Amino acid sequence: MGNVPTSVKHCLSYEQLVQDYPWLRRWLLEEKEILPTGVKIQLIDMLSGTGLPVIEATSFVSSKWVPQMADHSDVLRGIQRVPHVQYPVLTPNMQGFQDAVAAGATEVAVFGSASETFSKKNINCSIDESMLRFQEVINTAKEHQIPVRGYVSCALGCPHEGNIEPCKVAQVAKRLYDMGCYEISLGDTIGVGTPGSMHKMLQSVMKEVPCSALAVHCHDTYGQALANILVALQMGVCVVDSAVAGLGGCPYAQGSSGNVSTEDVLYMLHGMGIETGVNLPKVIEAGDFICKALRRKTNSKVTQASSRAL
Amino acid sequence: MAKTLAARGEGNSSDGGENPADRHALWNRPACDRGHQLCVFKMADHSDVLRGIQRVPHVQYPVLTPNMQGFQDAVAAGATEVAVFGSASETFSKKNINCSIDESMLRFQEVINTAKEHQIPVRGYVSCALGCPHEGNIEPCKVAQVAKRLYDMGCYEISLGDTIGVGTPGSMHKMLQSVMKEVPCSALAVHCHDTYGQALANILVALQMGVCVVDSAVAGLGGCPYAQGSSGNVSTEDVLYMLHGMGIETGVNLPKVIEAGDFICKALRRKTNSKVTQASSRAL
Repeated sequence: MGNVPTSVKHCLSYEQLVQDYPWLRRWLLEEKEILPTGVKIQLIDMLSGTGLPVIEATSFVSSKWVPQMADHSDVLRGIQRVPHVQYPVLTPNMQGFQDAVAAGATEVAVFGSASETFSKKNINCSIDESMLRFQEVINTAKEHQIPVRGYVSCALGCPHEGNIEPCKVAQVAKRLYDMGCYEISLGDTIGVGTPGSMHKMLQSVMKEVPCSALAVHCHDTYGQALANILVALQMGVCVVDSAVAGLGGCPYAQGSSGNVSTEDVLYMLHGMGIETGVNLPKVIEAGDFICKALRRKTNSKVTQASSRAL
Repeated sequence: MAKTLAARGEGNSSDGGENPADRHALWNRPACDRGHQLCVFKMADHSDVLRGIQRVPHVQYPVLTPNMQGFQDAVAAGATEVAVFGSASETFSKKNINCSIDESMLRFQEVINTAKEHQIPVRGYVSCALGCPHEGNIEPCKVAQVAKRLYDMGCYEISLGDTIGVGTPGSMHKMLQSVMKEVPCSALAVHCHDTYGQALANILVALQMGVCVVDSAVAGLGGCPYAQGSSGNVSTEDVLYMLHGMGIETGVNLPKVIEAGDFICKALRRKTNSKVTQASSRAL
């Protein structure tokens, strides 16, 4: 079955960046509930008790574009931090980084793209320009001894460009790693990847970045996430991103699922004998809580099956 | 890994023929734990269906025949391939088809022998291959024993079913390792349920181990009676998307399968379980 590590870290990814499309901004404002800060804090506190080693708490993005994240500082200050758990936050630029540090951030993340078009539409600048921005954040973070994680979006496909060459993903991953990111999370942003494209992409990236510094961030839009994660594990990747209850949709296929659910990933890993240190029933409980708060159904099949077993 | 692969699509679930649209009526009938009898009324038109379809050359249309009566009716209606349905779990066998595994094998032997005389190939299913709703874990060697019996009796292919969808790549690997000691890989198929979202990952492991035949259901129709409301069969569309993405030639036209899925979901007035179909229909 390949080389599967005996323990795998987990990281929860909680947010979507906004794109500069008027219709999309309306969709986000109209369809997405703005959760009370207290609910977000309670969710993170529940997740802190599950054994997950990393919980991405919030994003220091512009509240003008993402009003749902306007309370980022309050969330970060309000959570009860558990020892040995990391609470990274997204910081797309120096302003966001400074706000994050002021709010007590101890780890940050920057968000690049393997697709030139996606970079321009998503963060309004080219890949090269984004790297300059990130270098500034990373250099300042080093001075504060704050580790930085790098994301590469569109690693298995772009909503605008279609196929993305694996070597392009490898280039961007290498740049982020060489700049000082301790870990690079490779994201299948629109969930179009399959075990075939995951394998090719990782083969390419692993020539440039050590396997121990890689993570995968798979979306389940086409139902391929667990199979793609399995391939990544077989190739030696030890870090998997997921979202409790599979929350977080896909703006490019409205109504479709996005993030893979932490519960389903854990079920697979535990079934393979991989020690994650995470308590699945407690994650299910956290998922139930946030779904009730959002008044929506979970995307986790494990949770659905567990709650309905006769 | 196989370069060409037969993806078997199911028009009716072979797990006893449950039609999700009728589940409400099903579970409100007077108590009866003979699974096949509960479903008889929904499959009562089996002969009409078999006679009514337009058969395409090089396509097989197997039908499930749990006993001699079913076999005779199937032959009378023009069946050219049949299937028998055993279990790796003693308890499931008794509750599902009202007899022990040994007794079921005698029944199947009768069907297989008669089928041979008619030159009708027989496929064998082994349910509960990765877990049983009553017994829990099922030992891989037990699955291997039942698979071997069916194969030795004359089934040309054995489909190993994760009946309640509890399997993971870990348990799939162990089970197949065991079965492959007794039955040639070329005679094996997997029938994965997606109740816990594990189906595609489990199918991937099976493919990596050399299995070349995958069962699925269009639109992922066919629920799981042991976890009401949960998904059951893995959807053909999602399986095909994965296989094609891996460069495996299936010879199957995915858009046409999506179209068939749309048709049946409209007729059933329900949403598809296929994520590929959902994403494709909503792509902006």
